[in-house]
Amino acid sequence: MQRASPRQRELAGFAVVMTEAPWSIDAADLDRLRAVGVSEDGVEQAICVASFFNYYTRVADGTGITFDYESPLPRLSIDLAREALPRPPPSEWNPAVDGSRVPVFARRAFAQALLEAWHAYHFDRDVLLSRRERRILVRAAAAELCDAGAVARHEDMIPRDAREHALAAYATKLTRTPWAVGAAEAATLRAHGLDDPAILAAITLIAHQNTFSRMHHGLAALATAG
Amino acid sequence: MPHIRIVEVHEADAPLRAVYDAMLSRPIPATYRPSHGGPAGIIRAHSLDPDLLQITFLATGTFHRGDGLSWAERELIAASASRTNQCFY
Repeated sequence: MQRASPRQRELAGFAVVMTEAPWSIDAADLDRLRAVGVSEDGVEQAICVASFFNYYTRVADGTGITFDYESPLPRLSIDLAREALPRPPPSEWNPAVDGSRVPVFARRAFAQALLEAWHAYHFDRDVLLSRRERRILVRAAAAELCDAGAVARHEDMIPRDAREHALAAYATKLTRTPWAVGAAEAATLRAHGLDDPAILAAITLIAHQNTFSRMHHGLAALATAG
Repeated sequence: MPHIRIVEVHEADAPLRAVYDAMLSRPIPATYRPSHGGPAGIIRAHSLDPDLLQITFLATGTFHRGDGLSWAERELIAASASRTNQCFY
């Protein structure tokens, strides 16, 4: 069996950290990629791939769709009781991270308008979920991602009633332990008056924030001289 | 069994069917095409909002573009992220 190359090991390791502990990504992590020959284009692309797959996995878990690709990988054995890594206290968060803004990648200008449109679709509307409810979801997800800027921007989006508390709790769980989100969590939202289109809106908005906050952690590391 | 309603291809109205057809016509590697021949589950997961489906995959699909990483490397990152999240996707 062929062993993974140093470059492959670093890319895989980077993806794991971007997924499990994006708040810990720093210039040294990017220097490790560069040390195995990853170009600056590759570094930005690695941040994007890891971030986008933190969208897809949460949508898959939240909606409960069946996996239907052929895969050569061993079948997963899921530990539903697995806990998320502990988060550092807010006093240790990087203030340069602000996932409430659309990320800008210097070498990926071709994606900018599409990221803007995607962000606007989630935020510039009050159908299915109100604007306030959307921001409650964002704040809850961002808090789990140690996203100082997004939490600060939505600091007043504290749940006020049972429905808002349920939304925030769902965002927290889908962010921290997406593997543990199932039919029961969707049923809880339904019990608070959300229909399936609204539940989809919640799932995809939370997943979207998981992408943007991670991208910003990566961009903050890029902005730090290595 | 999905946790929310999924609109399958045969049930899709014209707008959703158009989005499904557009997704199926994308030039993507064979490994991204399920054996059932229809849109993958992660696409159909968005079926209750065809506009969201389209905007999302236009934005997220940009990870394929760029010269920095090979397709295999992108897949490695994707698989590593998904496995870390204990997800099949």
